[in-house]
Amino acid sequence: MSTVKAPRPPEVDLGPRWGRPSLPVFILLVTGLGLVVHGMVQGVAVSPWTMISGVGNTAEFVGEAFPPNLDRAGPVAAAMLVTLEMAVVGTLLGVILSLPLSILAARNTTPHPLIYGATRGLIAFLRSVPDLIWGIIFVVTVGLGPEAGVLAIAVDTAGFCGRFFADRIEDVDPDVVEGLTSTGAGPAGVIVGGVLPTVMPAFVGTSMFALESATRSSVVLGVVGAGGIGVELTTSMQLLRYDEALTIILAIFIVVLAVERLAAAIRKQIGASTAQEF
Amino acid sequence: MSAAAINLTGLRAGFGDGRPVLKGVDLRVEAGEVVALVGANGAGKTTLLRSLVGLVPIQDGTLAVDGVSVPDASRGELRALRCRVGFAFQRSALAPRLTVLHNVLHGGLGRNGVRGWSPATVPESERQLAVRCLDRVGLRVTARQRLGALSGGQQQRVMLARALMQRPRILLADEPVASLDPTAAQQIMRLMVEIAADEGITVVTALHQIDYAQRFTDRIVGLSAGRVTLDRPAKQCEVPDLNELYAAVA
Repeated sequence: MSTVKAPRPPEVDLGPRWGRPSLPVFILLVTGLGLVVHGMVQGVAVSPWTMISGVGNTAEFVGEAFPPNLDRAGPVAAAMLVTLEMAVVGTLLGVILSLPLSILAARNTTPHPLIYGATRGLIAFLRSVPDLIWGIIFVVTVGLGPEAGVLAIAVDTAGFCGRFFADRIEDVDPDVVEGLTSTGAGPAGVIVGGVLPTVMPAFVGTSMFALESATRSSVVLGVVGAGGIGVELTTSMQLLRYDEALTIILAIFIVVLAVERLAAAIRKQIGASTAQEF
Repeated sequence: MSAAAINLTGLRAGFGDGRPVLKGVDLRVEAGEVVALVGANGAGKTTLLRSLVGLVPIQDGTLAVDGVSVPDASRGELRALRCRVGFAFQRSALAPRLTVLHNVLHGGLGRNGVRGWSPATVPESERQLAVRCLDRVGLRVTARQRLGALSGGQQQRVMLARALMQRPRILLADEPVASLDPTAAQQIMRLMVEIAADEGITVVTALHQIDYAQRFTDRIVGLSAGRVTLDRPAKQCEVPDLNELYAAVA
């Protein structure tokens, strides 16, 4: 029995296994490598020797921190409450501020393209400056204490929520806007009657993210003098009272976790009802 | 001859970039008439309805609605006209998370301003009017339910109630029975025609269901490529005439 030999498939040129990188990729690689090498020379990168000595220092810190010292539990709880209040009040102010900003910064609700551009620019500026920097600025302008922290969180939240609220407003179905415009409703009527009810679930969800972020920020803001538990933590660390510091760190952990869980539960509830109804 | 509810001559209207969708439409609708606009997708039905309340740029021709020249109307005059011209869109124009009553009240936003945004802030007389409008479409008992919990047919009736809340002299409806099952669709058509007859409201409705156009309206206007190609009393329209409107673009 004779067999038919299958024709040999034609050779395909697959090219070299390693291609030469394009010029932009090459420039990025060289720049990245340059930053790493320069960082190691300047002490920016983490060296193995630092890591080894750090393990010993960490063990010493943990040894001195345990057991946590509860002698100052009262003042720590009071400071934690101030921190939580800073987060809540700051977020509330920021969300309120972001509402008009977002309406002016959405293409479908802004009264004029110039106002749109200016408001988008303002929101970008608020977002680009970190909350810690806002904290330092407000400590200088209104003095040490929680007020500076509240203002820093409010401005940071206004930037964060303003951007996301504006994007959600732009996503609103044009039928909703046109449907109310056709009833003779003015711009304000269209916003309160059609736009805001449509975007409210997204607004609440974003506000909950802002509250989570603000709770963490309010702790750190205390370090720069903006009041709350951060001041207590800085003082304990500077006085080498690590057992007190551990109490504070545990209190922060509990509160931040509780706020995160609460915010997640609210978001989940909104998501469930939204999925059910849309 | 009495003044027409709607009078268009040589109307050219369309996109903001100047491309016309309507390419010279002549149409006169008498007060109290119920008119169906039929035609294939893109024929210009929705653009014609939207142009009647100034939602589309008018490029040429005359357009008078309830005695108001739409191209010449100021912003205030246009808003006043919109207040008395009900427009029933498809149900996506409603807010599913709000209550049924809340959605109906929004039909009065034009005359009540932002006070009309919520059942809590609106005058009591307006609340009562909203309840009567719901009663008229048979949905009084759903007033406090969330709109999203209602069926598609019920939501379309809410849309009709919202349009009635405007106390309209003219009612425009853009495919009010699209995506509804035949039973719900017939209920909506019957209800709309009954209300129009009782209240003396002029109705212009875009429809794809030519059998409904024949059964429920007085007159059928066929559009094709932005022009009126058919205009007859509904009873005199034959199915082949209407099918031609769709065959032309097939």
